[in-house]
Amino acid sequence: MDKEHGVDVMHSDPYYNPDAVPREGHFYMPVQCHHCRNPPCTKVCPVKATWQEPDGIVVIDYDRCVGCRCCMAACPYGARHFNWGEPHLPVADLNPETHYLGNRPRPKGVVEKCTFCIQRVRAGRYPACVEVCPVGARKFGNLLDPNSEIRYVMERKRVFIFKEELNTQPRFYYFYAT
Amino acid sequence: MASSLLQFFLGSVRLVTRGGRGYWAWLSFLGILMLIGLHGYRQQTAVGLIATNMRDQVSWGFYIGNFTFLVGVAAAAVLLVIPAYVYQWKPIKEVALLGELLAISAIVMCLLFVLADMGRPDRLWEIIPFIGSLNVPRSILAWDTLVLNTYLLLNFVIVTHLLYKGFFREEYKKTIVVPLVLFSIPAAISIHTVTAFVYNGLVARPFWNASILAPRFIASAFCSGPAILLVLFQILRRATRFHISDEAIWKVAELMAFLLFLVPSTRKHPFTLNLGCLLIYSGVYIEKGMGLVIPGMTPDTLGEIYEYTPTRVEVEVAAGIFAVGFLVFTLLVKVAVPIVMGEFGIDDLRRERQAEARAH
Repeated sequence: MDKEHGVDVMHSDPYYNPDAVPREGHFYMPVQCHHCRNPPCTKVCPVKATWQEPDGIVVIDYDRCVGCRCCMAACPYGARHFNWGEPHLPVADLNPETHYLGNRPRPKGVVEKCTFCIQRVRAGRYPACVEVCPVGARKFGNLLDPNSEIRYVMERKRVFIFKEELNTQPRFYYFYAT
Repeated sequence: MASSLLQFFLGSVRLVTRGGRGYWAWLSFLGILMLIGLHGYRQQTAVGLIATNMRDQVSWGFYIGNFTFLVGVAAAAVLLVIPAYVYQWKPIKEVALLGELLAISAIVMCLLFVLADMGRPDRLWEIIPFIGSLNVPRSILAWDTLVLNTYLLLNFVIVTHLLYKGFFREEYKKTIVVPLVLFSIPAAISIHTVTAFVYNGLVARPFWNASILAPRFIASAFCSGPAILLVLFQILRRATRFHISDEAIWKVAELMAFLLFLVPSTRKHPFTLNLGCLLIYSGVYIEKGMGLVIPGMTPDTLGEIYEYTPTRVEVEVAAGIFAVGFLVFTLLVKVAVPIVMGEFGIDDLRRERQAEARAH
């Protein structure tokens, strides 16, 4: 995105891929499932194949999804992805530790999405994206814990909610570290 | 009861297997289209919906556009049913049945388009109430499947009852038909408004997220459905002995409130009448497919513009589904017209059987 335009998806390049980063006047804004407290996607599902877990993670049952893609139309963040073809992951790349609602192999013809790495966070680990980010731009934690890193960020940084006007009430926030 | 149902069925089979060269040529044409559709669908099931040009950015395309258009066509039967049964408008009453037949065929096409669009058609049973896990009252799409199937069932029962009674040369039961017909009027409105609500309720898509959508759907449906019917009336008038008066055609055209049909002279002239029908039909078809579904998805929620055009597979499948719909309509008309005209009934079936037995 251009710093000149600020957060404006109409002026962004979804496939921006320069040879070196950071580039003067540009910034990145990754978008993923916001795990909304008021998720528009789960309401539209005709077969109850997607729902919000008690801990807030929005999940999909790949064994029940009929592939109507109504949830993809309902998601304002483009966070849901459909398996248009047969997904093939080399056996060597498969994680043998799977979760029914998370990282197990998905069949063709169903919708999938970010699960906040349900198989990791339920075991007390960070989601893979948080762990792997080389600059530590992603923070993950318990908002109810006043001593958590995420609460520190929320209380002291400029925090921004993407498409706040849609009342999705995300559990995913953007903050300006500087 | 069982034996008379069997006789009704045998009589219907007799009617559909009888026809001139034109009839069989038409059926073969539809058969070829259906084979093409089947070929496309087989390719699609083999590799998945990647055979279409729909992607994450434009996740609904040609199939859902056609579905939305045909829901409108199906809803339009009500336009004929209201004046025929409520106001007792005689010239329209005899053709209201044809509107119901068209509604049945259109709903069949709708359901097939949804089936073609589904990523997992093998899990269709999940949508069946009580057996699957239908998400009512929350999901509008769940309501849409409910109203569509109710409307199909309703029209099917009305038509079957009328034809069954006609076949046995009896008067139809008013206590059955009138309440069902009255119920089919709000049902027809509901299939179109609920389909509009499916788009309407999505806060993520500003193009659809407006309260004008449902009235707009109704308005366009009341044009596209009758436009097809008017053309079909003129064809049926030539092809069968079914009498459709000019008044009925003009009255239907008048109800459509299209500019060409507001002027009595252009409404009554066959050329401008058919031109108007063609314009309306193509206009609404473009409005629903290219004008509603695709723009709602372009640009996508993150501002990306993905240019969608249907693939060969999508066009093939759509052609096949339209062929199925036309086949259903043809067969229904083939059964309905002789029975309604009183040209074929239980006595004719018995007479023919006796003649055949004697010939042996």
